[in-house]
Order: sequence, then C-alpha cells, then structure tokens
Amino acid sequence: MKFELLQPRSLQEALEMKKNYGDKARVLAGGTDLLVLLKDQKLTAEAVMSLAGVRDLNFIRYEDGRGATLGALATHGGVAASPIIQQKFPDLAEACSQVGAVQIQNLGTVGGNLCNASPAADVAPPFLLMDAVLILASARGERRVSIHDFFQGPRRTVLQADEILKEIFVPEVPGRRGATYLKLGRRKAMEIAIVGIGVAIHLNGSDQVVSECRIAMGSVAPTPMRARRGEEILRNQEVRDGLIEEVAVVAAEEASPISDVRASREYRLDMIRVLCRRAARVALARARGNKEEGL
Amino acid sequence: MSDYYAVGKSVPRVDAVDKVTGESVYTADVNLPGILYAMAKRSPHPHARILRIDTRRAEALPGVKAVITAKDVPDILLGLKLRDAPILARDRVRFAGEKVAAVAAVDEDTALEALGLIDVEYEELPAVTDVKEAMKKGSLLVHENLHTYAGLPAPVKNTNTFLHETFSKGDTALGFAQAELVFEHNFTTQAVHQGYLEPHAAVADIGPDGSVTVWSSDKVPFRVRSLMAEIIGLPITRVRVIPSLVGGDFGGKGMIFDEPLCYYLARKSGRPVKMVMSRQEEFLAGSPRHPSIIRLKAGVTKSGELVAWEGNAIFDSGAYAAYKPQVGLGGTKKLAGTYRIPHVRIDGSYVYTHTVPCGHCRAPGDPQASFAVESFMDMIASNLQMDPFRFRWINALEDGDLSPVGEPWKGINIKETMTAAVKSSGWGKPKPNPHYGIGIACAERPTGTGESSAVVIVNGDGSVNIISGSSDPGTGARTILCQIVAEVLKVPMERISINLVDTDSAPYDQGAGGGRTTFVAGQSAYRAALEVKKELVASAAKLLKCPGEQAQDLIEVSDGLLFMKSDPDKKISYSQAVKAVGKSQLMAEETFSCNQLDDTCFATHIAEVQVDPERGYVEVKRITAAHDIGFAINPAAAEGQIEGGIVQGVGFAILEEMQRAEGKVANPTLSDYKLCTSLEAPEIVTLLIEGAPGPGPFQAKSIGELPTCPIAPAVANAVFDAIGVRITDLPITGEKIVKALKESGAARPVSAAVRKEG
Repeated sequence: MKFELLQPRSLQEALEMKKNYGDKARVLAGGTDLLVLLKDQKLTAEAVMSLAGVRDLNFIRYEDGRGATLGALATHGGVAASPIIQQKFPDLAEACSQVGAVQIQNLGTVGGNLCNASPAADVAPPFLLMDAVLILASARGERRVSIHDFFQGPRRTVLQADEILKEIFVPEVPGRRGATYLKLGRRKAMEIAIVGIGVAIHLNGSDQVVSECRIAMGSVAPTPMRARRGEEILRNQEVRDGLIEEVAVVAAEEASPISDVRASREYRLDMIRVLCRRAARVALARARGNKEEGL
Repeated sequence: MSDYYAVGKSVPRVDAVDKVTGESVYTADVNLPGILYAMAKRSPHPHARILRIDTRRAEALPGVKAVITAKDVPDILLGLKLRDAPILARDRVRFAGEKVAAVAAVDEDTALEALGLIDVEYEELPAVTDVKEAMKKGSLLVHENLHTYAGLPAPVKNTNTFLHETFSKGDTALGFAQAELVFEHNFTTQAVHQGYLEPHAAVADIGPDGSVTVWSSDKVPFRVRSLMAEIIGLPITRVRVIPSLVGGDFGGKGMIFDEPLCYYLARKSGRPVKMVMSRQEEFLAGSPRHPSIIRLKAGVTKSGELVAWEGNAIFDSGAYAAYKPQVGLGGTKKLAGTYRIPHVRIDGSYVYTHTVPCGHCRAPGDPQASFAVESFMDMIASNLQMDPFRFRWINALEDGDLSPVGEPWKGINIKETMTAAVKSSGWGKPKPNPHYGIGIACAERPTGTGESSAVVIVNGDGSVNIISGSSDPGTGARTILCQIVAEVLKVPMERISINLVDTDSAPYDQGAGGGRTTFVAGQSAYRAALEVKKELVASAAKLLKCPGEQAQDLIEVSDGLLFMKSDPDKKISYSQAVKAVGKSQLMAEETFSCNQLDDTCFATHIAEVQVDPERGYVEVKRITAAHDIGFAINPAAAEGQIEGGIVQGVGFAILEEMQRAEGKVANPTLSDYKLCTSLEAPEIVTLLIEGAPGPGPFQAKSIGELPTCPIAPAVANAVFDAIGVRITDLPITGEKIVKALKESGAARPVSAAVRKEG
C-alpha cells in the first residue's frame, strides 16, 4: 500500500488540495472503511488526504427550534454519547452506537459513513428520516444537497472530485417526534447490517393520530432508501396494530434486496417486515412519551 | 481442599505477564539482519492446469530478491501421513487458494506489488466441489495418481474416496430385527476455521555452512525439523527449529505451511526470509474443520432401549489429506455416542473435492459426530415422548461396559457428569418465558497418547530447571509441567523455570495435540522429577546419617529442604545436597511413551437459550458444563480450557461457516466470517468432576478438546425446546430458523410445562 499522504491543517487547505488532486486524492476521515479497502487492494489511491488536522469539523451543535448541525468528522462515539442527540434524535444515537464496536465508533465519523456510501451505512437511515441536508464544500464555494439526492448507488455519491462533505444539518420538526433505528446482524456487535430500519413517528395534538410516519431502510437496495408508500399508509391515520403490519408489508414491497453471504433476499424481506413493525411501535411509544414498549 | 503443595491450585500461568504486556515473542516478531518478507501467489481457480508462469516482471521490480515456482523446489509430495500435497502447485492447481509461486522482497509492500507482476496462465478445468458428486462412480478425479501415494491406508484406485473406515459390534441386521421402532435422520455440518489469533508464520535462515534455522508457529517443532530435513535432504542435525509462542492452534498448526518456501527463497536470495499468512489467506488455504454429511439410523424398543445403531459419515476433505496425521478423523468412531447399544455399525468416508484442504480442528471429527448423535437422541426421545435426559440415562454406558464399537473403556462415569450438569442448570425448572429453551448433550473423548521427554535439573542453589520440547500453544502446558515438578520436589513455583527451547537443545517431543500434553509430557516431567528427588535423598541420607537403604522412606522434602521424618530439625537444603555429591547440579532425564490407552473422559453440557422466533435470533444464555477430569492440576487453567471450548462451540453452533460459492470461500474475512465476540459468549458454569482416576500425573485426564464437542447439539436441542423446530444443518442461523418455522406452520404453541427430571 503506497500513496502520497496529504495532511492539510485547515478546511481551506484541504479544499485547495482537493481542487488540485481531484479524484486522485481519497479523503481519510476515521479510516475505518478506507484503510481496510486499500489494504485489501479493493481500492487504489495515488494520494490520501487525511483530515486529522482539520479539527474544526468535529462538532455537534444544536439550536433550539431549528435543529442540529454535525461536523462531518463527528465520530460515531461522540454522536452516540451526545445528550442532545440522544434526546432529540435517538434514532441517530442508536445508529451510531451500533456501528462496528467501540474501537470503530471512536475512530469512524458520520461524514465518512455517508461518503463511503455503503447500502448498509448505519447512519444513513436516521439522516434519511430527518431529511438531513448535507453541506458540500469545495474551493469554488459551498452547496447544500438533500440526503435524498446524495446517494447514487453502492459507493457512489454526488460529491464532485473537488468536493468534501463539511457538515450535516438536521432540521427539527414541529410537534412530537419519536424515532428509533433497529439493526439486524448475526452478532450483537461487529456487524454490517443484514437489514437496518429507522422509523420516525410525528404526532401533532392527539396521541392517536399519526401526523407523519417516516421509514428508512438500509441494506435492502443499492442505496439506503425511504419507504414512501409504506409511510403514506399511516399519514394522518389513527394507529391500529393491523395498520402497522400493513405499513411493514408495503415497506418490504418497496425494497429490492439481494442475496449475498450475509443473508438471502427472502430473509431480508421477512426481516424488513419484522423490524419495521417493531421500530414503528417503539417510535410511536417514544412520540407519545411512553416508556419503551416491548420489541 | 487438598494436601498438595503445588498441584490442584489455580496458580497463574508462567507466561501470563509477558502475554498481557506484549513482551511475548511470536514468530512474526522475529527479525534478523537483512530479513526479507515473502508472500505467496495463489490460484484463483478451484481446478486448472498451469500452462505457464512468467516471473520476469516480478523479478525486475526493484526490491524483489527472489521469486520461486514449482521448478525451484523438490518435486515431492508432503503429508503428515498420506503424502499428496506439493510444496508449490506443479502443473495443476486443485483448490482456489493453492500456492503457485512465492516472492521475497525487501518489504511487504514490494512483495505484494510483485505478486501482481507474476503472470500465470491457467487452463481452467471442470471442478468437483460437491462431496456427493465426488463420490459418484466415474466422477472427475481430484488425484488421478492416488494409488501411487505414500501413506495411503488401504490400496484404492480411480476414486476420490481415499479412505473408508468401518467399526462394528454385534450384528446390526439382527438388532434392527429386534427393534420395535426404527428412526433415521440426516445431519450436515459446515467447514469452520480454527480462528486462532495468530496466523501461520515462518522464518528461515541458512548459515554459511548450509545448516538451516527455522522459526515457526507450528506446535510440533520436532516434526517441522524432520519434514524440513527430508525436503532439503539434510540430516536432522543440520536443521534447528526454534519454537516461538504459538498464538492459538486448535489443531490448525500441526503441519508445515510456508516453512519450505521461506527456505527456498532464502537459498535463492542469500538472505533470511519471513512469511506471515494474512487472515484472508488463512480462510482460503488454512486447514479448516471438515464439513460432514452424517446419516444415523437407530432401532429402539418401545420402552426406549437402544438395540441397534448405524452411523454413516462423509467427510469432505478438500483437495489434500496431507494435514491429518491419521488420514482419517477420530470422530467417525464417535457416531454412536456414549450409549450401550448391542449392535452397531459405523462407516466413514473421506473424500477429495476441489476445495480448501481440511485438517484438524479441536477434537477432529468429534463435534460433527456429536452434533448428529446428540441431536438424534433428542429426536428419538421426542418421538417416544420421553424426557431427553431420561432417554440418555437409561441407555448411558456404565463402568465395565464396552464402548459402542467394542473398545474397552476405563472408568466410565458419564452418569456422574449428567447428574452434576442437571443439578446446576435450569433443567427441570419452569421456563422463565415462552421462547426460552434448554438442551442437553453428552460426549466422550480419550486422553491422548504419544512420546515426550523431560530433563529436570536441580541447580547448585536449589532452583530447578525443566527442559522439555513440548509446546504450549496457549493451553498452559508449561505451567502444568512446572506445577507437577514443584509438587514432586516441593519447590516453590517461582524457583522453577521452563523455557521454550529449540530442537537442538531439548529431547524429542511429539508436541501438543490430541489432548496428550498433561498426560505424556506431564508423565515425563513427573518421572524425571522423581528420579532427581531420589538422588537428592540419597545425598541427604549421607549428610543426615540416615541408613541408605531406607532413606527414600525416612527422608521427606518440603520447600527446598530435605529432613528426617522422625526429626524435622535434622535437615539440609537442596543446595547442600547437590554440593555434597561434588556436582554443580543434579539432573534426570525421562522419556515417556504410550501408544495405547483405554482411558477416556466424559462430559455433559446443558445449554439454555433464548430465541427470538421472528428474527430467528438465538442467544445462548448459559452453558452448564460438567467434565470428568480425573484431577485438575490447575483448576483455573482447566476451566479456561472448558470456557474456550464452549465459546468456540457456540460459534460452530450458531455463527461460523466458511461459505462456498463455486468451490471458492465466499466470506474470507473476519467481517463476514462470524466468530463469537465477547457479547455472544454465554454465562458458563463449569463443574470439574474429579475422582475417576486418569492416566496423567496425580490422576489427571485431558481437557483441551472435549469441551467443544457437546455444544452444538446442546444448543440445537435447546432451540427445539424453545420453539419446536429442529435444525439439522449447522450453523443454526436465524435464517434457517425463520424458514423452518414458516414450513412448520407457526411456532409450536409453547407451554410453560415443567420438565420432569430423569
């Protein structure tokens, strides 16, 4: 493994280097994906640009009523442990706490997890639930891209050759939000999701009527995705068990999972239904301010 | 608990501090001036003809010092018994991952780059990767010249089945005729890797006189020496093997891997060479546990007595049998379990396929057999509407019985382990919740035999050295040897030293394996210590004016002192005793060799699981493991062996599998190959059942391998108890459970019924 190591000391410097090197320089954040791929010769790089010196991208900021902004270099461990994220966005905290294991969480970053663009990326479903906005920076300036437009396929994003993911903004929604992320692996840790499901339930006024339901799914399609048809079933509806089951069934219909060494397509479809139903119940209970219902 | 001085106590391991502080030196840590790093080029095809290998581009790469192919190494076949494996593939590759060339360079990156510059032209050939296909008459042959191979146990020709073994007792035709009910089921088990922390590593250095020094992660240094001497064509005296600590073995480190390549690269480059396999290479070309297909048939009476039994196992051996010292696996003989059955017939077939060659993995063959037999016992019990404990109990062997295949077994105490396990577990208690399940399984495995020697030296200052060529691949063997000698000589552990010594400095030892070290190496150290003690006493007798002929009875030792039993104030130190004979040290050497033993060991495990039927997720909550151990020389070490075996067994039961696609390993990474993490490790209750005398010093039995055998069936039986589906194909994945539940309609209505104790 040989490459030129670029070590910018500031974001500005990093953007200048990215302008000059373009695709030739791969961006190193936590390194938990990139270095493994390089060592396994699944990727090659003429240059690797380490963001270790760009310290001001590791932050979590919250503005009451507006939402949270996460620096791209915020680590999974940092996000999972953040009291404000745990309180406002428990789905994101749960996703971060289920990435790999503690060592990986301490190095891996939310920005890296998104830019790596794995269909199984654990942080993608919560950000999809939140309609997150990604701030992409380049020497030319900044642009804002919806998370829904960011992924283009497995390991492909809309990032241009000179761009770096700088921040992720998650808007706060009006009313009461309950959300969770459930991940299925064969073990309790050190897993790449067989299926990862995030569900958010928004309540306005009545505890009985769901104003909005959002469902995000990982490892079930070429990119992490929302299950829009499933979501519609619960919108402005009074909650019944049968309805949640229906949501889960439709969400599975929207997925297009493959069979691979981790699981078959059939099992994934079954598990979407199971996890979706369970996640919806937890999200609903949380939105209502109840203690967790049994999974 | 006992009056013992040093044994029966959980003393810390002699190497513990070095290991946890990272001071221990493993083979990959060995560095020599000018050392080169080597890597192997491997076949991507399961079966192909090698048309041409062009190494010129690799050789031209700056930093590359040597490239070798089959033409640079002797045209011989290697094997621990059956000799069928070339050093580098010659003309033909027989599995995806087989080595075709190797390169040594100044650093690993250069070696890796050079691998990409070796051009190999293959003609891909059809491959037989399915074991049942490989057994068919007229199948494509993996080895056309099998009949010419050395070490073939019986002459066979034009077949992939290189070994077929049978064991029998009584007359099964008669037995089945007497049976009132006959059951028959099939079971399959998967290939699993040993999962040791340390991958295979080797270093070779050639001296100016052509003598060879080898560092190796192999657990049998003396076998490395003899194989290397044979390959190179040198007398054994010119090959010295320096053992390093072995970072886990579990059966996978008994055959040479890259040692010969290091040597030939060193010879070509004139520099020492090191090779360390990557984790991926371990999966592609290690020596995993054999996948198996097992059919069992049992005849029983309506009251539940076993009267006839047939077992048939097919072991997929992969492309080579070279990794097995006995060609077959001991597990075949275990296909009738630990039960009193008058009429038994067992047969096992070992078959070549174009897949990763299989080898030994902790109790070779036993976990496969145990899964089938102990699952089958529960299936029969369920059909008879009998409690699984009771069904086992009425059929279990008792002392004096012959083994199921007619062998004399000494000290059968399976029932003691059953009773102990049941008492300490949740057996017979109400289910705490509907999807909780409990399962039982029994197993047996003998104490291993072999040859060891030990030298015990009492130095002029009264301290003690042990010189032993036995290896300690993480089992704690060196600590055990120290405890044994400490007990005989009554010398504190900290006054005893045992070091890893090379093959020039230690007497021959067969090495760790088969559960032999505590017994065989232990006996050699025990006897040598007794001899030295005799000399000490004889010397003391003169100083203490004790009549020589009675000295051995009248003089006692304690804490490095010799004294008269009748008058403990009449005493001298070991140091004085040594000096009194005019020597600098007293020394004894003993060789212990045993090739046949009727002693065996028993165990009963009870697994308690929680199943999430919707996801199929199995959580092994608790394992209660009762082991017939004879005497635990170091109880903590024995418990450690049991715990390790159990965690490995849980992996075999529910997680681990070398998946295959078109004959290739499809998940050759620790990301996709699921070993247990600490979160999957269950609560473990270990019960050491002492008292049945074993063959080792202080009546110890072996403990290294048996603990992993009963886990998979205990878990499978517990899963059945929890949700009413029977998985007969390992591993028991969530996916299989969900599928089985779907096929069975729905989860069986689960009662909170209390199970009767047997």
